[in-house]
Amino acid sequence: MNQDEQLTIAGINFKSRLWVGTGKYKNFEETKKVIEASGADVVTVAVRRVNITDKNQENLLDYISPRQYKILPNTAGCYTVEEAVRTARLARAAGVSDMVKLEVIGDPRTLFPDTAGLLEAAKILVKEGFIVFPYTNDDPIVAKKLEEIGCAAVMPLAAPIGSGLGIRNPYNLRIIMETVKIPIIVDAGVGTASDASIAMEMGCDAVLMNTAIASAKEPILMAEAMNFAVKAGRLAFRAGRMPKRLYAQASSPIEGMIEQS
Amino acid sequence: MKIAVNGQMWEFSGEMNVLQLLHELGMVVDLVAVEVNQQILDKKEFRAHFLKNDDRVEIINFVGGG
Repeated sequence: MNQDEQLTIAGINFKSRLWVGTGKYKNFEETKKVIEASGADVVTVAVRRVNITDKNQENLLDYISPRQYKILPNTAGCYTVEEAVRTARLARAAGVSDMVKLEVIGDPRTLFPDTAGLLEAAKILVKEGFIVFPYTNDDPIVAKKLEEIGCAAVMPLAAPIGSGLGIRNPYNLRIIMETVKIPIIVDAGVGTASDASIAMEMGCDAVLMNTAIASAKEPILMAEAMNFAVKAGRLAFRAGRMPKRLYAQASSPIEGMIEQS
Repeated sequence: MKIAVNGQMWEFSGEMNVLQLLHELGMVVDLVAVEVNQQILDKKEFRAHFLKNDDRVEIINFVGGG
């Protein structure tokens, strides 16, 4: 297979263009196997209060070692700038990463981002030296503003979180790619392998997903499928697709046909 | 001394720094972050920071998420 060019963001080299979440698995053992099958080296995690009443509770990072994986803490569940900033700061204080997947959610039913809040929180965190990966709508104007603020990449949704609807608006993603120079990581809405391939064929730099793998009947198989899908999509992008035509064009030469006697 | 830890009231006798609190609660220090009265502490401060009556402590770690 062709050696793909390296994905580098904020001076960090990434092995895989598939980034995966760690939510919704039946146990940490399954999470670990899924991540191995996915080939991902970036895993997202959520920041929560420790369960202090159960001392024997296992820790996710015992299974997903920060020495082996790049840990990307998220601010999922935060609905205000203050909550998101506080969560990001706490995540950094835990000492595993300066990266943050910044979410400021605007509505519990759609989980669509509050982009005004997102921009404000991004400004604060960039100033504080965080490597900010903002989860945003597929809005080219917001994407441009996030770039101007100094975010490391922009993470537009393909469809609502956990919906599995696939890429609902490829045209906006294309415009975002033309609008910003920072990497574009499609985040949320991927349902199956072809969705991930489409994102990569379009020229997105990476894909982040959780539910598409975790909610598959066989999560480990789906993780492997996504691994191939992202690689295939990237290769196809680099190869450059043929132009679409309305009418047929023969693949075999017309000259030298056997004459009918 | 009464301290609220992650929203629950705990009672301890005598002086206690943050490191001792974490040990008392069976926490692995490497994997957590601590906030006392909404001020995030650097891990280097855990030993030097002594808790006071009515302090509100938050201890966080990472869980599965997307």
